[in-house]
Amino acid sequence: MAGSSPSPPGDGSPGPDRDPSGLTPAKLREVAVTALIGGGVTALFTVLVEGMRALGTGLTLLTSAVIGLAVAVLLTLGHFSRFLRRLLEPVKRIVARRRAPAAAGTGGPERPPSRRRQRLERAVLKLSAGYVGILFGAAVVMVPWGAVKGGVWLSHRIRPPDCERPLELRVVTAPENVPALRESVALFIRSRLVDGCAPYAISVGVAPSIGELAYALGDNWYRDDVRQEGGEPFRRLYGPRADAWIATSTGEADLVSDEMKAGGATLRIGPTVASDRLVIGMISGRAEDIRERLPLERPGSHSLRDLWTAIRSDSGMSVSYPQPELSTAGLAAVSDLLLLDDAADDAADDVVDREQRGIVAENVSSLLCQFKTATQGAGGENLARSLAVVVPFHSLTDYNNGRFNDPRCPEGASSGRNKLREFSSPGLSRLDYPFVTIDWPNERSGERAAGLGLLRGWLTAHPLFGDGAGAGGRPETGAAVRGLKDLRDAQNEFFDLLPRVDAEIALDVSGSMAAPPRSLLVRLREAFPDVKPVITPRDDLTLSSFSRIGGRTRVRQLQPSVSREEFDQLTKSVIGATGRGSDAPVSDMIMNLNGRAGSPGRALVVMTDGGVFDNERRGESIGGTLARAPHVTDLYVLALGDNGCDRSPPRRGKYRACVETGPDMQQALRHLISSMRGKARR
Amino acid sequence: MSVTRRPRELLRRLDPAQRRWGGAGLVAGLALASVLVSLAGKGAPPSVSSFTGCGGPNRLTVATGADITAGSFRRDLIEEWNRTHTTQVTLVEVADRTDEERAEMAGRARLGSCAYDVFSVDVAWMAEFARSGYIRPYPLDPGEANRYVDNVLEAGQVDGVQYAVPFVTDVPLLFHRRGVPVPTTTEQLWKYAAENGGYSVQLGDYEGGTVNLLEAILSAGGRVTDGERIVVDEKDSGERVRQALSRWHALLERGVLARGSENFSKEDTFSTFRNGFLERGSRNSVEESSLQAFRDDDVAYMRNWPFAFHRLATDRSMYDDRGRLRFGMAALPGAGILGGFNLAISAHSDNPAKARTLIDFLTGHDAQMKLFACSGYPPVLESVYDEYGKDPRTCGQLLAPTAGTGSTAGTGSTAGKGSAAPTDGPASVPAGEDTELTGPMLQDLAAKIHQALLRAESRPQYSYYAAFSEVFRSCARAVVTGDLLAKELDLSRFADALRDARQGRAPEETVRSLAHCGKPEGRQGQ
Repeated sequence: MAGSSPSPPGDGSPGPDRDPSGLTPAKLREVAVTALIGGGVTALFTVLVEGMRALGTGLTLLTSAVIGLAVAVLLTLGHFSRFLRRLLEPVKRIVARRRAPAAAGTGGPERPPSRRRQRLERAVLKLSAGYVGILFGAAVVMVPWGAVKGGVWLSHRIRPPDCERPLELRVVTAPENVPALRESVALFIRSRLVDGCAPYAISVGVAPSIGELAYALGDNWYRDDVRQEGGEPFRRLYGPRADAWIATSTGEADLVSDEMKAGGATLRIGPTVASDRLVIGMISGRAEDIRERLPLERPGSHSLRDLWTAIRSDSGMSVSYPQPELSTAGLAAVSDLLLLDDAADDAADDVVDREQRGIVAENVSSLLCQFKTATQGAGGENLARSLAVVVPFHSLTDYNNGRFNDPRCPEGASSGRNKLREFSSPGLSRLDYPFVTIDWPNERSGERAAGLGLLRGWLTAHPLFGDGAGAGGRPETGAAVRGLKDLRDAQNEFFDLLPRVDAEIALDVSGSMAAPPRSLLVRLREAFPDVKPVITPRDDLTLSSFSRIGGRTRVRQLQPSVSREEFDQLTKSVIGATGRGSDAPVSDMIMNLNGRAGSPGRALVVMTDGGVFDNERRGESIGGTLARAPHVTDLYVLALGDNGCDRSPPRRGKYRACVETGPDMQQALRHLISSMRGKARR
Repeated sequence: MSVTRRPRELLRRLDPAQRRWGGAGLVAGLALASVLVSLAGKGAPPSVSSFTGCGGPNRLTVATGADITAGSFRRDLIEEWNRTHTTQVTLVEVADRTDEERAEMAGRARLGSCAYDVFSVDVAWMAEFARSGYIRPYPLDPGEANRYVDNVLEAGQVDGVQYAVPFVTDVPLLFHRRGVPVPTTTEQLWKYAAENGGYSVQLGDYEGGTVNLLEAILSAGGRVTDGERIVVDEKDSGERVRQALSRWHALLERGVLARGSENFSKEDTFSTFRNGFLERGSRNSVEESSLQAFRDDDVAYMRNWPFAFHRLATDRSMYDDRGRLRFGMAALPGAGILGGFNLAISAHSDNPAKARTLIDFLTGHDAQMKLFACSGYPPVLESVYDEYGKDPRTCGQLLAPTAGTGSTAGTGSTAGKGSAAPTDGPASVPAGEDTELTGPMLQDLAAKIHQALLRAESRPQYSYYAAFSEVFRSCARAVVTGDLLAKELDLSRFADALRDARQGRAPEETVRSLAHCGKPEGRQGQ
């Protein structure tokens, strides 16, 4: 470019600096330019990093690329380079002037610059050249890269690509915590969205009971499946393998960890992500009566003894809690109730007795759901007035808000007198909900660990169940978290106190029980292993099959006496049963069993799809046969399949109950066992 | 002075030291920028995954859903394989719910785990598994491909590449009471259903609801997608979609669609069994409830999958005094959507060749025959339908050591009744006797399934089908149930939300808010 060549040093410049060591404008410019370049590089880097954070990589790189290109063009095309040279010219002139006298060796009016200053000046110039070099070097890489990235970003803005596959994580917890955990996880995922894409897909599932969980964690998340012992080539998981578990309490996590077999998963018990406590809930109308019976104290500070007396002894109410064999909240409740001052014998017995007579539920959600269903039915108001429940406070709040984890529950929030009111006491357990990370053997993933770390951090910062403290007379101090020893002691004591089940199971193995496509026998064998947690060492069960083959009723004993230890043998016998023949009359089966059903006076459980009840011989009736059969004290029916209890006989005489399985055979089997315990107590 | 000469001149004017520094700076700048670029390019935090303890050279693991069909015949097939091969197979049943099954399989595959060699993949997940690289291509030569029913095989293709082969298929059928007219068009179906006690469908908030709603729209000539494209906001299609949903809302209001259909959900309940269909709470039931409603005479017509036939035909209450079935089947008027599961080989399997041999075994003619007759799985091979057309055999006949034909074999309680009458004909099923499906019944069922398969359509193939399905269902269901007026459905926003969802992007508001459907803020459902 014509006219753009630099002038010789000193040419056309303002007069020479009379005092180069002074703070002249040129020096100022020199310092300013150096600072500008240094600061510019720093600022550029900072802007780049911060920009990436704030705007996203794409937009930042596009901006950088545009700026870089503009700078390159300006430097090359002249106007800007001329400006830059002009800016640097005074610095150069000073250096040249200072060098000239030194080179000539002549003394002049000016004092030659000191060697130190010369070195400094040279260093400044070298650094300046270095800075510019760095900028050019960076531009060589950054400009094309930024242009490409920016272009890609721009094209993605115009036509967005599919999101990256999210990392799938699975968190399990007790059923009553599922709604709150799902909401919190959903918020976590929304908080991590990048351009609308979720980096994580986190599903929340229901954790199995303590015993089942200990087995699953010790065996790669497989179910405790007795069928595997026969070498059969199939296994069942508890759904997707869990990556983390929100335990109900640290004691529960310790208990599971303690019961796990070696070689399984490793549990890392982390910080608590929620805090709650057990409360005793009852409908508002009844709560007012109880309050009047309690000593005058601050709400929440009544001893559990006082509450128990007012609720049980004075008001005659039942207190229900989830089955301690299956629910940690239930186990904590038993642990608290068994510790009542004078609970040594009869009161402890009473705790277990009442639990069995009230609602039988596997977990808190099921308990409250059944409570709601029962109170909405005929005579529901009386039931509601006679029943209290021990549940975590947040579950009671969920109940009042109509928030259930179970779609089978009646919809709608509770209002007025039907709302549950809570009584709390320092004698009722606190629950601390630790975040437990599950590390599976043979699998290591940094991405998974990072994701779980973020989730744990989120849940710690945003506790489940909100604040909730101070509501409705909840005690501020005093309540304890039950530890490993407390829970284990409660487990053992509870099993000792449970009424014993002594029963003969008669399994209908007619062809219709094995009809495709959903064989009831197959479904039964699927469900049977899951009954084991509710069987105690003192129970006594035997198993027979019956059907009609060649016009004769055939009853086969499949399994002699078993208790908890040998329960797997009974399950194997169920697995081995095959459908054959037609429906045999129940009366035939009862009389056929007579004399070989073991000890006299046992309960009889008939598991059938209902067809057997249509086949009594002329003149025979099930009731009449039962009356003549001394070995049967009570008859129970487990109704499998679509017919439900429709075909079962009227419930009188020795006939006690019919339990329909519906789609959930496992729950029905457990329910049946618990119903039998309730009857055994009486 | 030319532009090219200027940098040289600038360089010349620098002294050697400055040049050295400038050069060093240039190199440093290059290095610095390169490091920065490589760091930025990585994006996600460094991830280290390692998986050990895989099956080994002679072990295969198959991941699948729970098998609760009669006799669990799928398991028997695996046992048969293990008896006859040195490579031993373990069948891992992940979960009862398909979404949980998908989460486990995709979760392990996403991390590169070698836990599974073969996946049983729902046809709706094919695009996700294939495009994410979780499964390998499964090339077929023409001879192999011709064995399968065409559109059933196509459900294993993604972007023109075969990634899986069908194991079991599914297609909806119309079940009707005997004595009522059998509709051949949707208009006839509405008319007859209104006159005869209603039509039971599944409109719950689950994948089955999506399928029913897609069928409703397709049957009315509307389209939500066209290949990769979302076309619900295109003029003709959009209005047809609106009209179809509006029509179904009216049918539901008038009781032509059975009571409760609008809230049928995945979790069927004990209350269905305890209280009966009409007394049940409004939230429960799926195919199971439709079945119950149909069986209890609450409705005259039912849309359901072939499994329903087995359930009904093995229930003695479904036979009249003369031993004839009290119901029949027909092709579903309008469109039907294809279901089923494919078998695919994991990208991280150490034994792909052996896995393929296993898949060949499971999709062989004999295996498919037995799966159909013994467990009720609709077959995927043309040869099975051909054979059932000519020589139907029951499970007992197939399993008998000297398996003969339907007309000669079949004694004993599990041998079936090969010579019994067809579905609408007499079938001697006296009380107390077994009700195993007869050869003619299976023949009739196979013919109906095959007929329906040939005209069935597939669901859209998107990598994020589940997200697409959820967004689609939220709006379509809202219109049908009356939560959103048909005229309020903002087709443009709906389409945008679907476009985002199919790519894995969440709507700005939560799906429940229905903001993406155009629902006015703060307005409650009707």
